Amino acid sequence: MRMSEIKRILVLASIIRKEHMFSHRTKIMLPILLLFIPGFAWGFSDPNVVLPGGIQPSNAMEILYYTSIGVLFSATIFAVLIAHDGISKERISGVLELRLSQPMSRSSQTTALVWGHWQSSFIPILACSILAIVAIFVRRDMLPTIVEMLCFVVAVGVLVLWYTLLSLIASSYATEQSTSIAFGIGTWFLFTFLWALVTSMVAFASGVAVGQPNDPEWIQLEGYLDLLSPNGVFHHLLETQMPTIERGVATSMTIFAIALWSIAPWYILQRRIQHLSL
Amino acid sequence: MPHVYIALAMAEPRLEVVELKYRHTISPRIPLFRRSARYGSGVLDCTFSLQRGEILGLVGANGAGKTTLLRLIAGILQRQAGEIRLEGNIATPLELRSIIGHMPEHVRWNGSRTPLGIIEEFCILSDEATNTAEKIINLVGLTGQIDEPLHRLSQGMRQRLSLGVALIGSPDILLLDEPFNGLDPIASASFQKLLKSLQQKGVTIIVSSHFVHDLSQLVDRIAIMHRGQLVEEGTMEEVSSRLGFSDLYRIEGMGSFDIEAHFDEEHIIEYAHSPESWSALVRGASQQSLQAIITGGASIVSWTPYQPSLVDLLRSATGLELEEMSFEVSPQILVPLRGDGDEDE
Repeated sequence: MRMSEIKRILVLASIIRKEHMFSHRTKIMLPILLLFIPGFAWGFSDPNVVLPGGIQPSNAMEILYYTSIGVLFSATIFAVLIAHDGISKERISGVLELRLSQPMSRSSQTTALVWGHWQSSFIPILACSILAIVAIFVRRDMLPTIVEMLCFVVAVGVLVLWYTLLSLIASSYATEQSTSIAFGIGTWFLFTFLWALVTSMVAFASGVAVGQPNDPEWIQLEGYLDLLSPNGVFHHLLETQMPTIERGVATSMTIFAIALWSIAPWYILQRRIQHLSL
Repeated sequence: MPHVYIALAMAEPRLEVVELKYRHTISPRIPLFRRSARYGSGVLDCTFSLQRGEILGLVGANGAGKTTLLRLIAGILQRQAGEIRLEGNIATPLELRSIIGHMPEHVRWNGSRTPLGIIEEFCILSDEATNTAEKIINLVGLTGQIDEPLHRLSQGMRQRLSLGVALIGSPDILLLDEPFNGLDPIASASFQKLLKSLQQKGVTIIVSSHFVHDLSQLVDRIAIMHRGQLVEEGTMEEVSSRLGFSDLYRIEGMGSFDIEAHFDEEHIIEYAHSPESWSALVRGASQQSLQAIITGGASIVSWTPYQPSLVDLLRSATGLELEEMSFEVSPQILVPLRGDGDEDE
């Protein structure tokens, strides 16, 4: 009984998922994910918590929004660590040559590769996100609405997808492990830590006062520049459920940025695999 | 009339490689400057054909282009020029991959997965039923290691697993790159037997190997590659004849022998002697010459046509000495032996 192409992709993705879900790197990263996602949610759910600027989260979505900082620190690096050798490892071992000599099209193989690595990262992160919601409920006896939960899950899902795609692209270029991990961690570092510096430099060059939280020009510039970063787009998506935050970026722009961040790296990866020579 | 068409169709070679060209790109030091990319080693104007059930041995020094040629035929690399035909029809890379089983040279199977899991995965990639996996495991002799983690398999076992993957879907054409690496002598003999049985079933096989002894017992035809080109191709006899080995004779005898009295200097390829015996390799030692030697009083023990080894053929076809062959491994080397008008550099 032959399988349809979609079923073959799903089965191959599940093989990758099973391999990674119980791998050492997942076991090592799981406590970090637990600390950064449900741990942050637990901390921000404290009724007496006062954040810098005197902010006190008043509803479940606000707590989830602040928890998203933990997602940015842990989920992204987890996705990088899962996918950084997705192609390079098999390229070095010779398994990729065997894989590419099979009759399944390269585009389907790439889809299975992305899907499998994305699932490997997303499932533990999703479990941690559910635990975060449980933590909020336990401490504050409140839950986000279905739409808010859905928005959070989708935002985390696409964030993990972008980092998975970027890592796989890096992995397709690397002929040894250290290059791909250096690229993956470099990308993570740029968008997680250095983006604030990039934003400040652009603001300075544009004559906008840097870091003035009440300056509408600064807020708008920061909002637009965030569209160029996966972490920024992740926050823009979450902010669609935060009526108190207005950064001057239309929802349609956020949706466009989500589409662009998903399609462009996917296209680059597909093209890369199509032309990959060993 | 239909019979005529069938006969014509059967006359088409199973696999035909026509003026195939591929050169590896040497990446520029600064990736942005793509124009500065240069071409390195590869395959140039390779042409040969194989009938159904033939085994071709691909030989050549390191870096000669054997692996690149196999990857092109396997549809892994995209050819830059030339054609690959299957029974007369130009084949796309996907068509090639559908009917070709490919065993690469180096596959370092590692990790906690098992041979059965690997074969099942590749069955899915090949669109074959996964319940054939156990049969393939048995066929390649990995029954005892079916659930063993990959990192515990020996090199020979890993080779068997790679062969198992190549055999998924009963391919019509099998490409084997250094299949004897890591196989013990018994496994090697059993492997040759398996290939012979596949040949009898009509599978066309191309084997690239440095184990020339194993190869010479196995193949119907040989192709000698040098610097990306096929310098000789044919049956052992045809190649031997073209390279001037057909009229070489090994003569061995007892006592003393004045070889120069019977042969011109240029016909004496090799001559060794001791006080008790002598041995000579000469060109054109006809029966008349033999008669003359015997009449002259020499005691001849044996007089046999010389059977060149694959190493002899390789050395003769490439003009390389053993020492040169061993060290000529630079990946940048590709000096065209024939003219090629459309070279980029």
